Amino acid sequence: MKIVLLSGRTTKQGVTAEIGKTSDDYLQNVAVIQLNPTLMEQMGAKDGDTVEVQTAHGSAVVMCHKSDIGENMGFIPYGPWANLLIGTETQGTGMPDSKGVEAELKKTDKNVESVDELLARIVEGRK
Amino acid sequence: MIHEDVVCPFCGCLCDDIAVTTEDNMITDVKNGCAISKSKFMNHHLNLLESALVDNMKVSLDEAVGRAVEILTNADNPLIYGLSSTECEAQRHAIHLAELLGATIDQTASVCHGPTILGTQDAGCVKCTLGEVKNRADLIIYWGCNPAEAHIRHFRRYSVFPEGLFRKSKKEREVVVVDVRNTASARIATTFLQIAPGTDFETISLMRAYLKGKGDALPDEFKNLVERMKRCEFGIMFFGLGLTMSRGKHLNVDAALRLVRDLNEYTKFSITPMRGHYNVAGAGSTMAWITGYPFAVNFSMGYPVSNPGEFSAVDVLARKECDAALIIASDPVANFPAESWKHLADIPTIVMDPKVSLTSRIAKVSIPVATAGIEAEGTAYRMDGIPLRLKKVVDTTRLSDAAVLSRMIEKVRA
Repeated sequence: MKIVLLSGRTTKQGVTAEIGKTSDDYLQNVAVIQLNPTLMEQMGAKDGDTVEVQTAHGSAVVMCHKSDIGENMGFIPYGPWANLLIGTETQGTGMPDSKGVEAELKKTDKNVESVDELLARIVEGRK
Repeated sequence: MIHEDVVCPFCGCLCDDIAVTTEDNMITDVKNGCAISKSKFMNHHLNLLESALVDNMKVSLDEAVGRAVEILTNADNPLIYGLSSTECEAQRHAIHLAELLGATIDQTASVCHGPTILGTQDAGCVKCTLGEVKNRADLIIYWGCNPAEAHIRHFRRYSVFPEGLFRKSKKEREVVVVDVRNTASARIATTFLQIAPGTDFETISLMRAYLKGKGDALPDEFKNLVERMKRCEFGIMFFGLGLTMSRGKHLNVDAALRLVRDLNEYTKFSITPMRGHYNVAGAGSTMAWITGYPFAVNFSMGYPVSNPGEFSAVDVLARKECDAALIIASDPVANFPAESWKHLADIPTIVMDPKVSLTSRIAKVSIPVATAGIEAEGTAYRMDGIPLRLKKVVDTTRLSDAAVLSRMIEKVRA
């Protein structure tokens, strides 16, 4: 499934970030994608299932949740999982393309990576 | 003890009516704050950086500051980044440190409303205070932002619901939300207009053309909106990262600023960016009054030079141009594209933060500091540019950002 990826703030993201970004609460509220129910039905995904999102810049496994967002869109709250899918090109502005990235979506049996697993995958052996 | 009229150090609303109750130096209750504000005050003591660390080994604060200064002074091109979640005195010291080191310094607007700054430098900005909005605005437009989730009390304190001097309630105000998705904010609006992702520039430009009698291609609902914008007595457009993070970026903002400027031929109309972190507006102001530039500044020539795209943090990291980094009151590993995390892990990174952050997890040196606005006082700028005084409501043995940076400056000079 092809979608346009959006990212932004949510109240739960803000509340749980203040508890701590290494907390399970944060993961449960940020490693998620909001999708249209029709799109989820077409994918055979239920609320809480994991989906893999792939862009030209990377991939992320996140939990999907029903929302009244448009059928061709997906929304991921700001955080490290959203940033796995965004490139560093800023077209001379300093600002990456954080909204409106084209993405491919598929249902998966993979688990959501924890913060530790994410950091290990991206920066292992570098520190 | 109840601390009245405390300023909330979370978002750019800087709500200044928070009542914080403390007992035995612990916050036990927070009144008036939104859910995020309450979480920030009530959980400020959780997941703290318990000790200064160098290579994950506990050290004294002096040792950590000494190691940080050694790293920064030995670097050819250090990067200082963050600043938006601390107060202006700390920001001033960070800029001074950057000047002494010949460093690049950037603040989080770079990945937030940086394009707004670029648009404003090009087109200018018709500004007003949130107080003027509360008292006078009869047409309120939110474009590409979702205050119901990100600036939760904005509707209640400044725009839709408050009792103002000339507008007494929501009944006397028209609220329009323009967005690519049907958000919680859209459900509060009297009119919701949905546009396709990446079409902000076209839509706003056609609105400008219609205003000048040439916008036949503009959809009818937006023609109707322009007519209402012309007819209102005091209009305000609030806009968010829907404009700055989408295709077009500063050009989207540039178009919106020019639309509002053009509307002033018909009525009074203003525009205000919905600033995210509570003192990101202060970071821009402090950098501008000291260096002449609000973000993406480099001191390697001995004087400040600014060039977003060249000296902005994401670009500096992506091109692997810095050989050390000092991160203050920010968490780029949580907020930057993943590719840029790699260079932060490759170079010696120093983090100053009250809490364990994702960046502190990969840092060489971590320095715990007091939380500004809870454990340290200072000044912060609201989204409309109004400075407010942050209060200290609990004591801590940890030093403020300003005090740690001051020590670094002393050591660099020694």
